[in-house]
Amino acid sequence: MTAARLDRAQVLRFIDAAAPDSPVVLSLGGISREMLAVAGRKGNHFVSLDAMGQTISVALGLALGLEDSDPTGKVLAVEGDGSLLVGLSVLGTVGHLKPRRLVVYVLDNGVYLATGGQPTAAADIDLVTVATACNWRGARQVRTAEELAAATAWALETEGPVLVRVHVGTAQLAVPFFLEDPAILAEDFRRWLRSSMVTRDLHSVD
Amino acid sequence: MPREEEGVAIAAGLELAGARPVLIFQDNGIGNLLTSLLTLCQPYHLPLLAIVSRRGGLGEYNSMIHTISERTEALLDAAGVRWFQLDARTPDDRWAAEIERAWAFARATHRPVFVLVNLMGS
Repeated sequence: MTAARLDRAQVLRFIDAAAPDSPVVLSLGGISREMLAVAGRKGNHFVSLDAMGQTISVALGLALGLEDSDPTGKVLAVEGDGSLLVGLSVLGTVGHLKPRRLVVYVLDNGVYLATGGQPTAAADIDLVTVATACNWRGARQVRTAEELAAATAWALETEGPVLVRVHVGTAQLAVPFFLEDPAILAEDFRRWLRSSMVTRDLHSVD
Repeated sequence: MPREEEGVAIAAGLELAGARPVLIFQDNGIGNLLTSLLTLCQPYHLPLLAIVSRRGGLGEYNSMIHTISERTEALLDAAGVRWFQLDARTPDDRWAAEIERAWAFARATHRPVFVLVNLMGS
């Protein structure tokens, strides 16, 4: 008998608590709305509401851009399996550029939940092997809360890039739509970055 | 970048971190980046400078590339992306300054700006 799968909301709550002071890039509506429900509006969370397949790329750019500001800090991406498969090429780019701060979580529910639960190809892909073959420094997969805690402790203390694939169920919280203006989301995140670490502050000059 | 939309998203992250990213690619990759440009950079007001080399005009040596390349302006117009042309009408010694101005314009207007660079002359 297979143990019950982790709930996505439970995993999101855990990630938020484990990295309260790190930039976190959140993928698409489902993950973003559930994170808002469990953690509230957080300055360190960048909510990418619709750029499917680009979550890891945004976090990669952040990790590269912040490389010199706080070399030990982490930049997290929380991606889904469906979105990851839209932009799988980024795994190669990350392995090539080797951003030491990058930690990627793939919350793998095996389906395109937002469009009705059609299966993704993720069930037939060994993402740990793929990431490792793409020259990432490490990758793990987890199925239980204990494994998630151990993998997170490992990911946060290991030089990146590292990937943690988390197998989750398809249960969703009943959450309202999130209708904030994206321009405000970006500016809120920039302000948090400026106040929390030394960034190359090019926005206030010219 | 292996794909233009990935480049757009990496540039978005760099811009949020305070860097000054510039994308350089050929115009037949325009179709690959429209979705990430219009779901990320445009609605989130992320300035981005793209330098796009032109193909498909006079002097083209490939028999099919013009099919997408000559629609570059129309595609960008439909997407609401601001673009400027840099070609033989601008003296070579003005190009660097024009590209600087395009970046300043992207910053001032909080949106992506594309510079369409024609190295084939027209």
